[in-house]
Parts: sequence; C-alpha cells; structure tokens
Amino acid sequence: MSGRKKSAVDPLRAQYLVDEEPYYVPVGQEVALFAEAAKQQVPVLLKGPTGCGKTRFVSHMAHQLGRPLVTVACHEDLTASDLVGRYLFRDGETVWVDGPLTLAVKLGGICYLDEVVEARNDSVVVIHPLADDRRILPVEKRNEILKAPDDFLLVVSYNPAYQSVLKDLKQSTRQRFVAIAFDYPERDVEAEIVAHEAGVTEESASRLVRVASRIRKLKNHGLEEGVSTRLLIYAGRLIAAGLDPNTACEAAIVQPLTDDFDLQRSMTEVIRDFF
Amino acid sequence: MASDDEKKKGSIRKRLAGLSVGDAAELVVLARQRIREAPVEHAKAAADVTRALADARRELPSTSFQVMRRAVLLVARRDWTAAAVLAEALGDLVRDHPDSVDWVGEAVARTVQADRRLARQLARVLPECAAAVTERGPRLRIITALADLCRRHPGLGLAALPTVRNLLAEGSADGLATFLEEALGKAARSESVARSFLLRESRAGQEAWDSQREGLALASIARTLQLYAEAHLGSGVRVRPATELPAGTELPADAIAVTDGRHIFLAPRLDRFERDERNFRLYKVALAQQVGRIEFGTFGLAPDAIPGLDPIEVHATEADEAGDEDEEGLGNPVLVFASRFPDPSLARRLLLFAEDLRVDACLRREYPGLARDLEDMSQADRRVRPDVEELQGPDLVLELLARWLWFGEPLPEGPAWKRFHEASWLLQALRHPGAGVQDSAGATVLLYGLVGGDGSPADIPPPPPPAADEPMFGVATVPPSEGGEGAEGGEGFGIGMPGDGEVDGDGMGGDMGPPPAAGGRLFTGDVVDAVEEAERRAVLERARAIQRALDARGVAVSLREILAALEVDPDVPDSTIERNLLEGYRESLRRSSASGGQGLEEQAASVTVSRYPEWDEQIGDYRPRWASVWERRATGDATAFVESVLAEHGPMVRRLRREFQMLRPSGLGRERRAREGEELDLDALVEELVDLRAGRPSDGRVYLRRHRKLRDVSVAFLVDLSASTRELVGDTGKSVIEVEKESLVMMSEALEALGDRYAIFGFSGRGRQMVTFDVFKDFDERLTEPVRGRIGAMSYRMENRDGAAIRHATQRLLAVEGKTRLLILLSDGKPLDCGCDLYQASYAQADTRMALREAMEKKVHPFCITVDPQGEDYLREMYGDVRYAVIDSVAALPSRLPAIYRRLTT
Repeated sequence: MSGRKKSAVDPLRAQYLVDEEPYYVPVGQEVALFAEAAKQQVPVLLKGPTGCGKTRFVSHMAHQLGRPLVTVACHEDLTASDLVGRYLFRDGETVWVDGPLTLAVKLGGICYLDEVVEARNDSVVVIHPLADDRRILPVEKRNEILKAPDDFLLVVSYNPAYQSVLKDLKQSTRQRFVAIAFDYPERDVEAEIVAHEAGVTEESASRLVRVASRIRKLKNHGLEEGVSTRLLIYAGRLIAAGLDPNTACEAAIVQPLTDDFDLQRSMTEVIRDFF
Repeated sequence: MASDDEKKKGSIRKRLAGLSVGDAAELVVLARQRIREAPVEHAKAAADVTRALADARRELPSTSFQVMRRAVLLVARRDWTAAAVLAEALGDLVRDHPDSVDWVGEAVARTVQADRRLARQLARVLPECAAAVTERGPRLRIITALADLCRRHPGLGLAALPTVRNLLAEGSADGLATFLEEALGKAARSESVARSFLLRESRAGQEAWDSQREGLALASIARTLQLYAEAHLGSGVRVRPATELPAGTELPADAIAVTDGRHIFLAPRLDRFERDERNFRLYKVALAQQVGRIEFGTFGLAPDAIPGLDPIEVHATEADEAGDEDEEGLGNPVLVFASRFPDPSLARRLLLFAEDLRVDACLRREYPGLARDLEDMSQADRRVRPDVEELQGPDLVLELLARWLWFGEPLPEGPAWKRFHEASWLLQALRHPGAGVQDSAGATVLLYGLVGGDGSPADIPPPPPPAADEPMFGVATVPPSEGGEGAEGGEGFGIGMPGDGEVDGDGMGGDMGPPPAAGGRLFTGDVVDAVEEAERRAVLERARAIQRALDARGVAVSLREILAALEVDPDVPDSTIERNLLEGYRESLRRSSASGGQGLEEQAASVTVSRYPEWDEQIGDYRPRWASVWERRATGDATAFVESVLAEHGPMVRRLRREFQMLRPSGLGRERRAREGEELDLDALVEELVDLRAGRPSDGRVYLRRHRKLRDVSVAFLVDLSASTRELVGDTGKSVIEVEKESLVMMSEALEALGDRYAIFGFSGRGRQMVTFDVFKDFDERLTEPVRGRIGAMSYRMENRDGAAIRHATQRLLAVEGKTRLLILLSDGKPLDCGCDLYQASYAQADTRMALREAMEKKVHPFCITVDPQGEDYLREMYGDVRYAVIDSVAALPSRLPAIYRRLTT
C-alpha cells in the first residue's frame, strides 16, 4: 500500500479488482444474501470454522459485483491506525499513508476484515460509524470525515468455535451486521470442490470427503476442530502429484490436526479404511 | 450420640448370637480394647467381621471356615477395618484355593504394621488376585511379592496395588510374579526407580512387562480404537474390554468381539499372531466388523416384518415378568428376532451368518482400503477353520456353506445337497448393494427350515468325503467376495495361498488359537442383549437386596435413593452403601430435629447461608429460594500433598511458571521511540530532526506505541466434590479427586506467575437444604502455606447439585473486579443430588443449563472440564458447543488444565 495521490485512483483500483473468477460452489443462499446486502449497503458478518471457504466466498462475490477487495488479516496488535492510516516520517517530512479501511472507502470497494475477533476491541470500534446508516469514516488525525460511496461494503469474518473468552465480538459490533453462517459443504459439494481445486479424480475426492466426515466426528474429543476443506484440498494435491494417498493424508490431515499420538493413530486407521 | 452407641452395642449383641460361643467370646475379647479407643468405627467393623464369619460358617465346609476364620482373626488383632474388608473379599479364594488363605491373612496382618490404609487396600486386592490365579506356584509367588512390597515399601505398594489386577488381566500369572519380584529387587536400591518400573512409566518397566506376556493388550490401544469407532459412528459408541461384560455374559474363547449395538466389547489381549502389528490389524478388523454391523443396520432389524415368518407370539422372557418398569422385553432386535424360533441360539447364529456376508460386502464397497485388511484376515481365518469331519447337523452345513461362500471351496454334490446349493445362491444375493437386514432375516427363516432347526435333524446329510483337490464344478473358482485388492502375505503363522490343499484336516494354524464356531469367522463376533439393560437389571437387583436389609433394621429408604447411591459408586460393597444410607438417614433426622440444621455447632461463625432459586423443567418456572448454599471456609492441612505434587512435577511446574509469566503483560502501557505506532513521540521526533540536520543517520524511531491493555481476568475454579471422585484413575493409583487436586496445585502456581485473580471453591452436599460450598482459596487471598494445605486436604464428600453451586460461584465472581470473569467447573459426571428430593437426569440438567445461562447473562463465562468419558452426551446440551472439554485421560489433567486455561484467556 504505497501512498498515491487521488489522480492515481484508477490504476490503484485496478490493483484491487479480482480479475479472474475465483472458483466457488454455492452451498446455500449465501450468494443471493450477500448480493442483496451489498445492494442495501448492509455490512456482512461471515461465521464458520476455519478453512470452509469464507475468504474464497468474499473474493468470489467481489468479482461478481465487480468491486475492489481490500483484505485485512486481523491480529491482536492491530491498531486503529493500522486500519485507518497514519503519518509516516520519510525524508524529513511526514507523509500520510492510508490504511486499508480508508483505502477501501476511497476506492468504493469491499473491505474484508478476516478473523475480526483477533483484533483488539478498541481497534474494531473504528468500523462502527461505517457499519451503520451513517457510513462515515472519521480520520481523526487528519481531521477529516470520509463519506463512504455507495459501493463500499464492510465484511468481517470470525470462527465461533474459537474458545477464548477474551476474544468475542461485542454485541455493539455484532449487531451492525447481517450474518451468514458457513459450515463445511455437503459431501457431494465438498467432493466436487476438492476434485476441482486439487485436480484429483472424483473417486479420490469422494474418499477424502468421506474421511473428513469421520474425522469431524472427533471434534471435542481431543480435536479442537474438524478437518477443513482447505486441508482436504492440500491432501488432494499431494495425491494428484503422485504421492501415496496414505502418505499424503498423513502429511496434510493427520499431522496438522493434532500432536496426540492415539488420535493420530485412529485417524490413520480411518484413512486406511478408504485408501 | 450415647444412644447411638447403645444401639450399636445392641446390634452387635444380636449379631454375635449367630456365632458359636467360642467365636463370640474370642471376638469380644479382641474387640474390647479397640472399641474403647474409637467406639463407633471399630464397633461397626467388628460387627461386619462377625456377620461375614457367621455367613461363612453357614456356607463353607468346616475346614475351609476354620482357615478363613484364622486369617480374618489374625488381621483383626491388628486392624478391624482391614479384617472386615478381608472377610468380605475372601469368598472366592476360600472356596477355590483354601491352601492360600493363610498366606493372604499373614500378608495383610503384617502390612497393618507398615501402613494401616494400605493394609485395607491389600485386604481387598490380594484375595481377588490370588483367586484369579489357578496354579499354586505363581499364586504364592504373587502373594509373597505383593506382601513384601507392601511391608517394606508401603509407598510403592499404594501406587502399585490398583494396577495389579489389570496386569493380571493383561498377562500371565507367572509373568506377573516375575515382574513383581524384579520390581522388589529394584526397590531395594531405589524406590523411585521401582515406582516408575512398576507403573511401567519407565522404559525398563515397559520392556520387562512386555517380555513377560505375549500378544497385544487392548489397554495399550484402547483409546485409538475408541476414537476410531467414534469417527465412524459418533460419540454414542463405546469400546470396552470384554472383562467389563455384565455378569452372565462372557466372551467365548474363540471370539474376539461382541456387541449389543452400542457397546463393542473386545478381547482384553490378542496373541494370535507373533507380531503385534498383525494383532493390531486383527483387532481393527474385528472392530470394523462390529462397527459395520451398527453402521449398516444389523440392529435396525424389525423383527415383526420378516417375510416367511408368521407373527408368532414372542416367547415370554423372564425379564418381562420381573420388571414392572419401562422394560419392553429384550433391547436387542437380533435377540428378539431369534427368540421367535424354537431354537433361538441357532436362529441367532444363522442370522449372523447371513449378516456377516451382507456386512462384509457393504464394508468392502464403502471402505476400499479396509477391503485389503479384510481380505488379509480372511486368509488367516481360512487357516483356522474347524475340522469338518468332527462336525454334524447344522454345524456341518454352516461350515460347508461358509467355506463355499468365503473361500470358494465347493459344496458336496448329490441330491441331499441340492437344496443347499440353491440356498447358497440366495445367500450370495445378500452381497448385492440393495440387500438389507430384512433380507438376511428372510434368508435366516429359509436356512432355519433347511438345517432342520424345526425339529427334523435327520434330514442333514452325512459328512462329505474328503474334499478333492480339483473343484467339482466350474463355478467353484468364482471369487467368493468382491473387491479385495489382494492380500498382503500373512507372516507369523505361515499362511498358504488360497486353495493349496489342506482344505480341511490339519488346516488350523497351531498357534492361531481356537477355531471360530462352525460357520462363524475368526474376526466376527456375537451380539448380546443391550448391556445397559442387563446392567440395570443387576443394579436393580442389588438395590432391592439393600432395601430389604435396611428394612430389616427398621429404616425405610426409597429404592430410587438406593439406586442413586449405587450409581454414584457402583464398586462399593453393599454393606458400605447400607451404612452410608443409614448415616444419611440419621443425619437428616438430626438436622430436622435441630430446626433446619442451624444448631450444628461446627457450622457456627464462619458459615453464611444463601438461598437460590432452582429451575424446574416440569413446571417451566423457578422454585424460589429453593436451594440453600452453605459457604464455609475449608479446613484441613495437607501441605505434604502439595509438596509431593510440586516435587513430582517439578520440571512441568517450572515450565508452566515460565510460560504463564510470558503471558503477563509488562507494566508499561506505552512504548516510546517505537519504529511504528499510533502517535508521534515528540521528543524522539525533535532529536531525530536534529540528527538529520546534523547529517547523522536516522533510525526512524519516532513513534509512540500503546501497549496491549492489561490483563484483567478473574477466575473461579469450582470443583465437584461428589463421592464419585474417589474412584481410582486407570492404573495411576490415584483417585479422581487427587488428580484434580494435583491440577489445581499446578494451576495455582501458574496463575501466581501470571497474576490473574483466582479463587478455588469446592461444592457438594446432600439435598437442597444443604449444598456445601467450601472456600479453599478466595480471590484476594495469597497462595500461602495454609491455603496450600487446604487445597491439599480437599476430599470427596457426597453429591453434586451443580445449579446452586454455579449460581453461588457466579455471585462470588460478580463481587470481585475483573473485565473478564471466568467460571471453570471441574467435574466427573452429571449433576446429581438425591438428598431428600430428586435432583438428577433431565431435571438436574435443565436447572444446570439455566444456572449457566444466568451466569452468561451476567457476563460470567462458564467452562466445564470433565473427566467423564460420557460427558459429551450431556455437556453439549448444558454448555453449548464450545464451553466444555472432555479429558479422556484423567492422568493428563494436570498438564491439560493450564493449557485449556491459556487457550481460554489468550
């Protein structure tokens, strides 16, 4: 994000446009919901387990709506200035640099705050005026107030399975969004996704998905979360590359999920049932 | 109290009447001295001894009785309680091996001198172990070794005793004796080395033990198999060792697995192969077969809708008459179906025979990888078939059909066999994807007619001539089962290629263990009646016996209350339960006479009573001021316990302290001269500009950065002190409460390092009028020696009324500062309190759920950590998806608790 003048907005905008259509298979009414929310300028909250396609969905929608997409991966040291922008000191001068939120407002695009619970509550508060009918962004340090254009849309995501009590969205934040709940796709859909993304045969993809449906039953029994679609795709890619399926699943599913030996062994046996 | 003693004396007198004059005199002389010291306790134990001896005199031959009496009295001279335990435990040993009883008595008596508590434990364990060993040599070696261990190294004995029975189930008696002797040798040099050796926590211990026994122990892979089954079937299914089968059911010697549709019981050990990897495969295939039965609907059988089977009256079972509760005949549809035939056991075998074919095909279709293992074990199965020449009747037919269907060995020709050829094609059809359990049932009806189960056994053809080397007709080469991707050669017992002669005759692998029943398979098992049902019936029977016994003493206790007591602690002997209930009864009498319990002096000054409403699911409303919570400062001082925990887990404590220290935010809220930040640091900026003007290099550190906000967490640990926490954990030799205490000790060390505000509460009680709430450490208290001592002295009490305790803990949390308030419940089971009213099952869970909801509304975050493996079933209901954790290995709690806490608060 280098600071550019307003005259350069168009090339900058182009930089944030999603050119190629991202592969995404709808699993419910999420596309229609999102499109309507965008039309009505209502911010959107996506909730669901990790690796189930939230981020992919957002870029898919950005492409479909033809809007630029500015993504922020939230973390606990993320400050309000990180979002809004700050003066940097450069060559003896102070230079204002837009933060991603400001940038998205100026571009009239989608600002996507990924894993928003990770951000500190006081940072998240800066989105409040943007996320109600005011649709403004006060930039205190510059003493200006930006009015969001009609195409600006705020999207945040979080994982409700996250167990930390310190990290929960405040009600005052939550209640500014319409929420779309995500889960791992239905078996057939997930198999289609894995086959497409990993380039494996339908048969292999279907077996991977059936493995996943077994492993997901172990959630809360040592597994904090079930295996994500993302990991299945990794496993699929390793298989497509010619690795032995059991080896591929061991590397892409068993080992990333847990360090617990008994659990690993039982997952290995489940995988062995299918491959 | 005096009247109590009087009564006790009276009852002893009555009891003594059952003994011969000589015995009674002896007992009285022995007892007098002890009874003077601590009247009630010893009088009770003495009475128990008396009663047990009187019973034994009636039941045993006189020589055996003399032996038993000698042993018990020997122990009684030193400790009455140990003698009472011994008298109760000796039964089997006296009956089976009277010659070893003296040794046991001697061992226990000597141990009393070393450690009274240990002796009582030994009195229970030793007779059981000794009775389980059939050969005299190893039996005496085990007794001697254990006795020496307990006498010379009481600490070691305490740790080792709980594991001994498991060891015996896992290995041979000879092996155990050698193992114990080796441990004894090590103990002479170093107790700590011997301890880890005995508990197999050291490699030497594990290896020494492994070399003693052959094969693979279920215990070592139980969790893996449990998780495997859960992955396939969800959390409702339990994998258990066959030793836990309810009384009356037993795993046949030739079987590896048996299921009732919800529980899968596996043989405690497998040594059919030389290599454990292969034994593991066999375990897994056997388990997968049972999982397959459940997954593919064997237990979905509808016994009333079988084509070809007239709706016969279901044979009335004894269970129907016995139970007036919600029993609806047998729980297992397979058995219901079988019970409709004149020969239920044959019908069951036939149905399972058909189901094996169907389920096997389903498994191979659904799990292509498993097909490989199935094929592999199928080859092993082929090596251990029963000898056809020794079979006749239905056995013969089934075995020949099995060989044809599984291995393609041709059926005999001839007119008498023609109908079986036809039947075999019908059975083949069960392998098609469309086939269901109803089809298997249909095939069963047909087979039952064919093999003469209806009373015409004469029709069964005579044994065929020895099978020819060549198939008699072309179809014999049709592969018997589809989809196998070829077996990996089975080493270890010299597997042959399919069809290389030896079709019958000596085809059984010598060291492969017994052959399966005719027509059965090596790795498929039987089905049994729903286990809960059988267990429930047994418990009900026990409860009734206890009720009768109490009745005889003129005390009326409801069956439900007894059942609840049994549920809390199923392993406690009946006499103890009787005693507890009697005490509870007296307690409640005392309390009601003392106007609501306020008069009890021990609860004077430091006790505060708060009343809380309770949610009644039935009326859909709160019962106001329903439960009384008695908060009091815990007493006791057991700093030694804490010290030993800190010593035992030294490295872990240090690591935890370091880790938690790092979570602690450093004091300053702002960082100056940062490379980036939200504000400019003016001082730094001026200096920077000066430097620039002066031509010096600049580093751009001109920002002011605000630090992460300070931690402001208050946490209350609420420990469930119900009686069930006294149960021992696996083979650690520690009880649940001890492990929980250990975890709290570790946790408080970590929290001291972190600086979060924390309190430790324990709750128990009996009845809504008295929920006790012990404060072991309050929020503003430092972790001083007395506090440590109180935590160390924490001990189990009675029942757990979760809702009231949660409400009180919530109030306590709200009274302290803290941006984040956390309530962590350490529990070992469902909420349950059966004092004077019923607090259990859905009522208790609904109230607990409501209490949790109230807490959440007040911004207190509840989280439950349970060691109950069944916790999944009810915790999700009460705590929601993310507010609980099931610790499946209790021993891991001390390390898991801090980890969970960290995850919750970062």
